[in-house]
Amino acid sequence: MIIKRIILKNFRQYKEADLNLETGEGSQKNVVLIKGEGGSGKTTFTQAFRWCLYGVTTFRDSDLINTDVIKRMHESGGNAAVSVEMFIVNHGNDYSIKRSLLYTMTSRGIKEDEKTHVVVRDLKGKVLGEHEADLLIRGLIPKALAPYFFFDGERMQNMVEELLSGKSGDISTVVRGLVGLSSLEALMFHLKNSRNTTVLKRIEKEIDVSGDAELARLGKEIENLTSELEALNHGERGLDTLTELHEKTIAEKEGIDRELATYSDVEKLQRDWKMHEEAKAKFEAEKIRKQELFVKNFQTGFSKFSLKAVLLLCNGLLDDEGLEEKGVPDICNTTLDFLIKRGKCICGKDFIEHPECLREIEKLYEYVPPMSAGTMIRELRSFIVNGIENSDSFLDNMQEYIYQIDDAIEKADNEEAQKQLIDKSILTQGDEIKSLKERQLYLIQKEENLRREIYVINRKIGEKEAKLEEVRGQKARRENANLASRKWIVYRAYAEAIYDRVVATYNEKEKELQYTFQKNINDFFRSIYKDGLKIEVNEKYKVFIEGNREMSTSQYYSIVFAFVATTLKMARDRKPDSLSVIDLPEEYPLVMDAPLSAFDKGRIKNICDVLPKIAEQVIIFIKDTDGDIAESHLCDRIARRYQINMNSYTDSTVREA
Amino acid sequence: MSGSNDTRIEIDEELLKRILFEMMFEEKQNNKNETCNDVQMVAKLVKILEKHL
Repeated sequence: MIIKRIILKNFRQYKEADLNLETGEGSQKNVVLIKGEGGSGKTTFTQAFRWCLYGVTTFRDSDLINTDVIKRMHESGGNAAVSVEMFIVNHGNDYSIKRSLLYTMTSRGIKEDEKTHVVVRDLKGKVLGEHEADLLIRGLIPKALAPYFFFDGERMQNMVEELLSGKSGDISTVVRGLVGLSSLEALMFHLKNSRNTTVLKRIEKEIDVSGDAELARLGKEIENLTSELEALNHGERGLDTLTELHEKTIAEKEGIDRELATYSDVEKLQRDWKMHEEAKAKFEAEKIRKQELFVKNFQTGFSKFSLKAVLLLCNGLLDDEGLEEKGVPDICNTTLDFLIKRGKCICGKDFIEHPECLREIEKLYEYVPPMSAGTMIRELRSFIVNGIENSDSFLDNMQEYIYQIDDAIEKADNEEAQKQLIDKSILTQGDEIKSLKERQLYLIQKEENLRREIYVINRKIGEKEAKLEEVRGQKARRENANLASRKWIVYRAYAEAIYDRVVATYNEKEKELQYTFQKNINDFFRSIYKDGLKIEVNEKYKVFIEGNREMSTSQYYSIVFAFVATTLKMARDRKPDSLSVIDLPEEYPLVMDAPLSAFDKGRIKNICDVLPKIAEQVIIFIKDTDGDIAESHLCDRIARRYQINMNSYTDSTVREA
Repeated sequence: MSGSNDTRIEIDEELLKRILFEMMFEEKQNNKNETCNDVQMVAKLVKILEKHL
């Protein structure tokens, strides 16, 4: 399909817009560039294409009609219609598709028609019937793929999320349809499924009807066994579900294992941080203890220290007097009295014969108690000497405490500095690690339980299958004896053989499709991003980034481009004998709103190289600044240029630039 | 060969291919035009078997 022209009437801010979009058949110039300021109506125009074909938009408010027209209807009544008409060429035939919605002024206000009205005409102006028109539109571009051909830049994020989350079952259906898997799927479903409306069930009934009561009983038993096997295999808690759950559990556990492995460095850093934190606390406690000792030492030692000068003076005086050296240790005045009364000296000399001894003894009265000044002076001396020594050690002690306090402060600061070197952000990951470990333990247990459950269910399935085989054998022997059912037995044999053939073909094609899809999407992605990122696609066409790496917005957008390009390539590469049920047209338009806004200059060049090659017609709505860059890269490719002028919020017009 | 246990039926490969092709054609047409529901499709497929066998 190529869009030759589009006409908008009263569509949002476009009261009248008529764009010729022809790019010239087979021409290299296949790009139409439509520039406009922010808010001028580029996104609105993009939506007009989708609304025309499918009657859907993504506007937040549902009103499609121009606000000025509404005002005029309020003032002067009457009816008005919103319409978008597209002139297209499809498989060499010209068609016009016009969708309109009527608004009528009533006594209760303006009423919007419940349904839009679609008219499809062929080249001769003949209106196509509803079914024919519907088939034509569906054949242009499948509705599920429409968002990828009519890009709305503002919804790009949603599209990316759909691809990454695999939420869009429609995408999977369409991609399978493109390569013919839908027909195979439908045939498989109609031949055999758990419901009663299948070819094989129908045949079984005929065989039973043709048989006797025993055959019916055996048939019933087979049916029961089949249902039981169905439940065991595909039921709510069946083998399929359990296996899927088991695989998911293992995958999740492996994911957590990997995540925890990445945290091993973090854990070491956390341990280091904790160690430094504890050491710092220890040194701070030491500092406080030393400060307390310092204060205590000050309180007890300072009074003595302050007396040091006096004590030194006293000591000097005592030295000068030399009093205490003359004292007689352990002798008091009564000792002297006794000696004098005895008349003999301690040495035994008689005082009368030796009066000099008596004089010496009498002299001693001056130095012994109660006249013991010498003894007291000696004690005083001892006190003074102690006081001086203590006051000397006071200063040393105080100095030592200061050194120790400084040392503790320095060590605590050092530990703090070590802590600071460790990124604080890792500390917040502690809870994360804890919760991951809890989840890991839970998953280990869950995996174990599931494994046991699967083992039990597999054993039951084995038993039921053996029984089923046995009953089928009995039934087959019975049937063989019944000629009436012979014809249906042959049908069944062929139906089963066809089913087996279809399943094998489906599995083979599905595998091939997934492989080709993944290869192509990676090829396209790398043509924009040459950084070795790998995209993986599962059987539901959910897109994965290898290693679940975080990606930039432009990388996400590139995935969407790659997805579109891949889908088109695979549709084009279909073999002539393909079983495809969806016939995409030979030519494709790509209508894009602000496709370059997320890219840097280098990538814009890559995108500009890739886009014109993806589709036969590329219609780009772009803001003025991006448009200038795009023009410089696409100059050889641009067939037509338009400029959107915003006259007011309710009126935009488009002119050829 | 296909079938159940001792009621073996000889499968004619050429015939099988013709039936398969015709069934696929019907499914493809129905996928495109959505003219039949599941019950009608099953009936069509059984008729194809009856026609060829």
